[in-house]
Amino acid sequence: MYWTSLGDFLAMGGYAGFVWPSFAVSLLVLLGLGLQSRARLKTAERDHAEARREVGRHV
Amino acid sequence: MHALANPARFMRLMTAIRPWAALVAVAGLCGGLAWGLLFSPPDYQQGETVRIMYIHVPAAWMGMSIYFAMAVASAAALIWRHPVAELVAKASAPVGAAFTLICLVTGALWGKPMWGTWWVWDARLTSMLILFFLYLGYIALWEAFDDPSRAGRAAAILALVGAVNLPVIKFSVDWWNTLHQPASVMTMEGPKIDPSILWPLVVTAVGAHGYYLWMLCLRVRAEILSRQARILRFSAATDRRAG
Repeated sequence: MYWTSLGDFLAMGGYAGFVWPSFAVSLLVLLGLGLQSRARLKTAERDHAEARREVGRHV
Repeated sequence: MHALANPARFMRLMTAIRPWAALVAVAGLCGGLAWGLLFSPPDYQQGETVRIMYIHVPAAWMGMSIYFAMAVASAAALIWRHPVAELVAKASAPVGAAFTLICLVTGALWGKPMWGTWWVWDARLTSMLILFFLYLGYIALWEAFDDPSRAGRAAAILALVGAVNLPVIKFSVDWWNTLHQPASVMTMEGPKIDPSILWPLVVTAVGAHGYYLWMLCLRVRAEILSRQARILRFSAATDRRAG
């Protein structure tokens, strides 16, 4: 471990205002895309099941 | 490669890979970034801001290599009409755009304390911004047509034309005078940085590749299912008309 105290770690040598936003933005972007991708898959799965039911009715 | 042109087989492969890709993504990203934040030393010039590099550099690599993958898949889609390649390209674009955005934002957050400015219009930064706009343009083109086959062709052509930007990004730091430092990891002579910095970078980069693969598994499956639903409805409608 490089750090000696939690305060030092959070202060990032005076660059906390640049280091922490970098990590926060990256986390938000990756998390957001992950959730959006999952939601998109769920919608597609529902739509696919619905299409199969519709077609089943007409065949 | 030919066997993968079959969407059903491709979907089975994607489903099998998915949990492993997720594991590599979470372990690699958390492990690499924790390493970079907690255990690696500060840089003698950059101080603690060097920790931003553990995100910035892998994000830049991903932005470029995902674009490369997208261009190759687009070529396969245009030349061989490979049905899955087109969907792989389409599914890649948002992931590449996300990494490029992360690269741009973290670059600005590093540039402010180190260069004294959030942004300069130099070759490396500008070509990276163009990469981001190429991703957005590609995504917009897919949405701009009602007919998916026409949208796919237009988007694939844009992806291929935009690929000229990749060598421009890579060599921008050698061709022009720029504030951005030259390559230090991917050089002909091998990495020029200390192992204490290189290893967290490598682990994060492996995690980022896992994340890309994970998102591909989700998004390509969604694309294939939507396309199948469309085909089902279309053939049912023509059957009704014929009957």
